[in-house]
Amino acid sequence: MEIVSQTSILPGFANPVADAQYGFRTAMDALARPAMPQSFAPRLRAPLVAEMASVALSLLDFEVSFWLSPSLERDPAVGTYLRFHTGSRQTTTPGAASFAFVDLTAGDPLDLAAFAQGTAEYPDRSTTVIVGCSDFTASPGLMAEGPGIKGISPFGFSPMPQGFQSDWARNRDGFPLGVDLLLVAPGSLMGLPRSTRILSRG
Amino acid sequence: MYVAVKGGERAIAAAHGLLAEKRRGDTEVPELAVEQIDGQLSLAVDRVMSEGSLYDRRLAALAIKQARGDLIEAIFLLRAFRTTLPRFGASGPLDTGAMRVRRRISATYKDLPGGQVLGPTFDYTHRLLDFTLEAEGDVPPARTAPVSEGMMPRVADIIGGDDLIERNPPENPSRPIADLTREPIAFPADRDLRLQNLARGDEGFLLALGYSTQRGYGRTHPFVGEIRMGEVDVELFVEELGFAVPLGEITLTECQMVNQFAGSKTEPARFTRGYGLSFGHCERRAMSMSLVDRSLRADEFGEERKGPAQDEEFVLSHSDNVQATGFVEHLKLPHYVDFQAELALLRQMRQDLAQSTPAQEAAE
Amino acid sequence: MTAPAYNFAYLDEQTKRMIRRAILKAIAVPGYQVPFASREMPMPYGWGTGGVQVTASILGQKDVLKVIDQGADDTTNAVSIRQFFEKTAGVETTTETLAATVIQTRHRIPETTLQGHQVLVYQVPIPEPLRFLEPRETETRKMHALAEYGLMHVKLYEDIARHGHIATTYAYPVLVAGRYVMDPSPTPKFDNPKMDDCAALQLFGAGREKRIYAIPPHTKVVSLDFEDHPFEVTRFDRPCALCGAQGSYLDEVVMDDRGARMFVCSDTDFCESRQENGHRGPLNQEAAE
Repeated sequence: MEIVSQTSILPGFANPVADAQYGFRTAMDALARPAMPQSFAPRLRAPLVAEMASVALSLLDFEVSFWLSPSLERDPAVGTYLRFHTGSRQTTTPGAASFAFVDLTAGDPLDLAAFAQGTAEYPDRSTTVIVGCSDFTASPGLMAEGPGIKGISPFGFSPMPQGFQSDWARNRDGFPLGVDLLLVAPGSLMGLPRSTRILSRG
Repeated sequence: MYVAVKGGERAIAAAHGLLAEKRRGDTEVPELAVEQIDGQLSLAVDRVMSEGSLYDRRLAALAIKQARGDLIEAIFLLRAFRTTLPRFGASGPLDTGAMRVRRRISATYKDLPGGQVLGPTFDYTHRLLDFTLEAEGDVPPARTAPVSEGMMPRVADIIGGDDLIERNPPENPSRPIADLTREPIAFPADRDLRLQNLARGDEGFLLALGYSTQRGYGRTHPFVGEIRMGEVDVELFVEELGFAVPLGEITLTECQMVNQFAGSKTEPARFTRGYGLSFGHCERRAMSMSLVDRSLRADEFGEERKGPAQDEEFVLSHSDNVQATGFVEHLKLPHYVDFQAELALLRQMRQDLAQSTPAQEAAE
Repeated sequence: MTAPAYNFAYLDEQTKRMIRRAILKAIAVPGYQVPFASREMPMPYGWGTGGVQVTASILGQKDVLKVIDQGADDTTNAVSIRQFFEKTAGVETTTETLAATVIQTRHRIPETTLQGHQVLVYQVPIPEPLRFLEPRETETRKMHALAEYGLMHVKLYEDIARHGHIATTYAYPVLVAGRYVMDPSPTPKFDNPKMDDCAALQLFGAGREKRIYAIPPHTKVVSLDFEDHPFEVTRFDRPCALCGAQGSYLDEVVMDDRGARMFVCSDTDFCESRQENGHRGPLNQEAAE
């Protein structure tokens, strides 16, 4: 049995009901309007960035599991914090996780195909990946298109991993299977559901 | 000039006022106490607890009072309350073998260890209205045999001792037990999920389905191995303490049906089981449930599915009377928008016909 | 004994999280029905428990809620659901379509064009568009997985053969984002075009059937039809008797037992605001003075 020292864990939401609604509603707006960063400023002191922690505390509980990318996993305080506040199970198998947390700012890889993709009959049985970014400046020549986007929309995030565009194209081609991304950067949250297509305009 | 109907809010409040008045009935007559419902309409309380999935006699009695005796309404009240309760965990498996039995009968053996115990039953009463009940009066104390100190093994275990009935699957603590209140039903459903669904199912629905199997719609050759009713201890294993803590006792009715045997060239023939369990004293529901449980196992025994009671999707999707009553009764909600759409189409189709057959129209 | 204290918007936080996760999946896979562990609500199944659970899960203290049934704010079930949220969430409510941030509806889409900051929550009785063609969930799930929708076209075409028209006038099936055939809930097909490229997020909750689905804003929603029998909306050959609106959906009101009828807007907020702005219909002339 794991012994958790209460004093070493940072507190969770100050207002659990309102704070969770804020985290969820921002994520909902972000997924409903892909590629358009939503302003998101949760007040939370956590061993991972506040935006990521707020999404986690809003959506995770004992009914789901989560996976951490290498840099987040290396800091034991992150897993402890998430397990303690949400009751969620931590897994080391990305394909078994309901949620995954990947910190791109620390150089962690984003291997979309490693996560649960859902099944033809239950495409919802897939992993939602919360991705830590430094900012959402649109990349020149990159556009996003799909449900939730009127026409086409400029798109980008940094640091964008090598090969992301082709990885994402594969994720999109598997629709309705695939993973959905909730990308966070300081002060904002951006959604990239599996239904979104990324286009290059050279 | 036409003024649209307004005042829905006032009308609703007034209707609820009327309802409260009707519920109370004649104020010259003393009000029913919850204790009276619990004590004197106890079988109604048992049914409401079973289908309401909440073991609380007092709340079930209160629900029956509030629902003016409409048991499905009372079940609904209890369910809506139950859904708001926090969960502390799941109890350990109940040991009905250790039941403090108040009634126990077997149709498969004339005599058996522990004997046949009739207990409080309507069986063998002559269904003649007892007009003496109109007057208040004391009931003489009932004569009962001394409680036997000896063993009262379950009949299924006795048959199982000779390996003549299918063995229950071994306990597997690592496999989570299905819970349809936490996870929507997905088909095909395993037996744990089916039993949970049936345990909450409408008694009338289970009864009709069970009856249909006896009339050939998925026949299973049932024998009542045993019906037992009495009190069983409930325990909760507390992780932090490392041992099980007794929570109290509940009254249960269990029915073990012994059915058509199954076997093969390699596997010796054995009887099969149908299982029914209910809160309180609900013999009819426990028996019906065990018939339906067995019928739903058709695939397991390579039986052809041809009766409704063998059709898992049909049974599990329609057994819940809170869902059923909601959806049937929702038809009384306004549907004028949809009706208008149908009216418009109907008028257009009649117009089309009149235009295409002018001669016939003129002849009328 | 005191009444138990319920959480904000009635549902406990764990239930909300479960529903919120389902909503996010529904948005990511437009038109796909996400199973969720619908709870027993203090109102009957079939009376909007799915819509109520969705609304309760998205609602925040700053939201302004409008509830309509048959297009009207004053129908009994709309009143009852609005009161439920006033009591359990204490949120501001309104009858004005444009003042609302969340609109829960049964059977209608408001006439006023919805805006990007709004969410429309539909109450859904039977979420499965294929249910009346194939009652088995195991079968319909396969049909959706394979996008095998031939049966639906056959059914619609049989209507044409028998009646000369597609005989479906409400709950008219649509294809969402080119992938899933979806039941728009029993809204009249008159409202189907409003779902296409709608600026608001549309969420659908079916409580008894335990399904949630969604149409994100600006998503292509096409009513199923045939080249030789294109989709047609119901048209009314008269204006609203009260506000004179042309092209709004009308309720038929029976005036007497000798066949007198009048037709008025089903969307009461739309009709009333038009009248406030001086619009008058043929049966409402004297009031204009």
